[in-house]
Amino acid sequence: MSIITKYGFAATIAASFVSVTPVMAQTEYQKKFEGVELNVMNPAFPQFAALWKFLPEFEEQYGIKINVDEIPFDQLRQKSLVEMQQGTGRVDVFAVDVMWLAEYAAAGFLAPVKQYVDNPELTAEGYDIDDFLPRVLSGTGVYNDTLYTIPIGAGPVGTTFRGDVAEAAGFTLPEKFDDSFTTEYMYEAASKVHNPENGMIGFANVPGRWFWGVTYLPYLYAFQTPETKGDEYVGEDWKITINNQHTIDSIDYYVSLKDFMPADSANWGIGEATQLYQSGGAFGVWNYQDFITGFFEDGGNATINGKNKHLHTPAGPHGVIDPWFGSWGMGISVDTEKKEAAWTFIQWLTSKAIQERAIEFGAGPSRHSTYKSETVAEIAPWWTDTYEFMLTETNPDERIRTPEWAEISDIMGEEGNRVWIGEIDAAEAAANMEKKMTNVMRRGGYFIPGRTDLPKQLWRDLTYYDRLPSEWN
Amino acid sequence: MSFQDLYKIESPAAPHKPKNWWVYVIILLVCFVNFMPYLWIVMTGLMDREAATASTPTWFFKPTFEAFHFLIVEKGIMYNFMNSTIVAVASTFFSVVIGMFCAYALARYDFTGRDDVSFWVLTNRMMPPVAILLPIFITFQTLKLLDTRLGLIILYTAMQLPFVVWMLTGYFRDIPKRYEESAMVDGDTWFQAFRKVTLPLMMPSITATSIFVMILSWNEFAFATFLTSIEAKTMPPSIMAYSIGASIQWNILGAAVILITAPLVLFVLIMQRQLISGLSQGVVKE
Repeated sequence: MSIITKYGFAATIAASFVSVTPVMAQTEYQKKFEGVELNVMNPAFPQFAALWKFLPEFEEQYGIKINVDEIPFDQLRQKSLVEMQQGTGRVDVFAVDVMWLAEYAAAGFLAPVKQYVDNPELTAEGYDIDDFLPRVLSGTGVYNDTLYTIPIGAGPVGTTFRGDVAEAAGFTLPEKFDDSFTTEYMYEAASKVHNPENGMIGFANVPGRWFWGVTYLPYLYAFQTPETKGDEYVGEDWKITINNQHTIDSIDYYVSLKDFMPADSANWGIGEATQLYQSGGAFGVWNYQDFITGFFEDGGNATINGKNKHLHTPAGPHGVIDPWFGSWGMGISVDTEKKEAAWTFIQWLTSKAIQERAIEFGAGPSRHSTYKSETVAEIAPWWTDTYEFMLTETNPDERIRTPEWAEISDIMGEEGNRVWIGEIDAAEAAANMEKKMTNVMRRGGYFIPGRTDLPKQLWRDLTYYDRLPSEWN
Repeated sequence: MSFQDLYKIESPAAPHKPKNWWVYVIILLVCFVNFMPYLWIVMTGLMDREAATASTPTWFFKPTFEAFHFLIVEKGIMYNFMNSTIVAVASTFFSVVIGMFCAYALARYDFTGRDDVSFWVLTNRMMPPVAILLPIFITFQTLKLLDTRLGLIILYTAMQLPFVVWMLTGYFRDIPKRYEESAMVDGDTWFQAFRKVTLPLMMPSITATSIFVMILSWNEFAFATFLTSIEAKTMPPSIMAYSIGASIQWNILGAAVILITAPLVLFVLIMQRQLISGLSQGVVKE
């Protein structure tokens, strides 16, 4: 293709975007924000980098300057909390992980945004809040019936495999959400291609202590039965329920993946596992849907690009699949004096047009229109496959939404990692988890007799999250 | 004849020095082991992403500046580089100048509580940054120093002062007081004696101390992460953010390491002679 033809083709694509997706128009009222500077704080993740590619357009259209403060994920929560608690007002827009929303909103660090959504002078006519998937919007941004953040994307945890390696070994991987993709199948498939002498391991797992709260959970859920769903960590009375045979089996399965791993794998994190997969040294690896473009399909790695099969996490022996829900939302600091300008930015960032265009660079969808987009189906089909799951199966409380979650997750990692290194067995780990988690919950006041103000266990009835987005306060 | 020249005189009766070739082999080996990690980082910075993440390390690859382009053009890291330079140079200058006079006073004057002052100065270095992060954040917020280079300069100067004072106090004590007394007998004031006699003798030590202070300020991460965001962000937090996201981008990390270490390496190479003589000062007593 000649350069001229190539540019002509690109121009046609760009023009088609402009004609298909309406550009957010600046209202008369928003003109007063010209010259305003906004500070945005976010993690250094690929989905944010994809969105920031469009910032010059926003700055030109609205005359608002955006200063992005990218923070390593490990420091983001602490830095956000310091800024919020001190009420500096220096940061106007915060990126908020779904796991932090309850903490931030309860402390009054974030401004409710519904008033801005409903204000036609601040929100473009075509914004259409009801275009967001109900469970994604409420799971990401609603606390106590009030909307605090708007999701820039949401997705499940899954697995990625080398389709070409499977075919060379004489088998074809199932399609996403196919019932045949089970924990047993995954282990057998990995065994078939596992050949470390030739530089290919069956599965690159992520067993480092910190990561169990992310990478082990799909197996904790998968090993439940339909009857025990909802009781993975706590019962209806908030008593810890984790010490059971399902947990033990799930830990044993997770640790069995060690068969494919090098001897020094006990501290492997996402970086190590992903790097091995990217270099062509692993058949399968953990993924988070929002990272697929950035990690596996960015066009810069001929070893794996276009050769991957992006699947869900495997179903367990009783057919249960992990209902993982991960997402990031954008919220307005309660301390900023530029709330209206901040909302102008957020509504532009989460608009149909920007979301659809940013998918190509690694952002994720949170709107019906983006999931159903033909362009998205063409450039990132793994999102189209996930639409129904995010609409009806995903559970925003998969990691139970309590202030104690961070400790619960850490306890799982600590005990699980001890099993990985052979210090204890799965049964002892499950017993230790129950004991330690019970102490955490006791300290949190969950067992005080007569207490009536404990949070609702919304994961037992997900219809709460299925309310139409425009109905929240 | 200078002190160094004395070493060059060889006695005619001195036995012939045997050439120990194995000494050079060991030196080469030590140099190789020390230089290898840096060489590998430089090479990684010049690789494309695929080569940098390859499971089998390769010595031969097609060099590219894509990681530098990403950092310099897309991320504008040279602005952070400028911040680091201003903050490190200014804080080094102030901490060494102020610390030098403190150290001089502690070494030369006998006053009540001198040892206590000396000890309490050092206790400032004993506090872990994480323990004082929040109080400093609040102080900065009150004084409107958050995300300013001035704030970091003040903080780093205060942080490095104890180190400077302790290093230089020892060196000042090694210089006999009678040199200054002789100058004062000749009519100099104490400051003239200090400037004309003591200071030139102290230059190697001051340079060595400055190099260490510069390195500490240049590489400081924890406070820079929490006290700056846009305007005054320095190199260490920027590098962390740009190269370590959900996964590590090794070639970008390599390029970032080159950018952050190159000025220091250059600085130390230029000052090497001063550094060595400064560190060895006081080893041989007159």
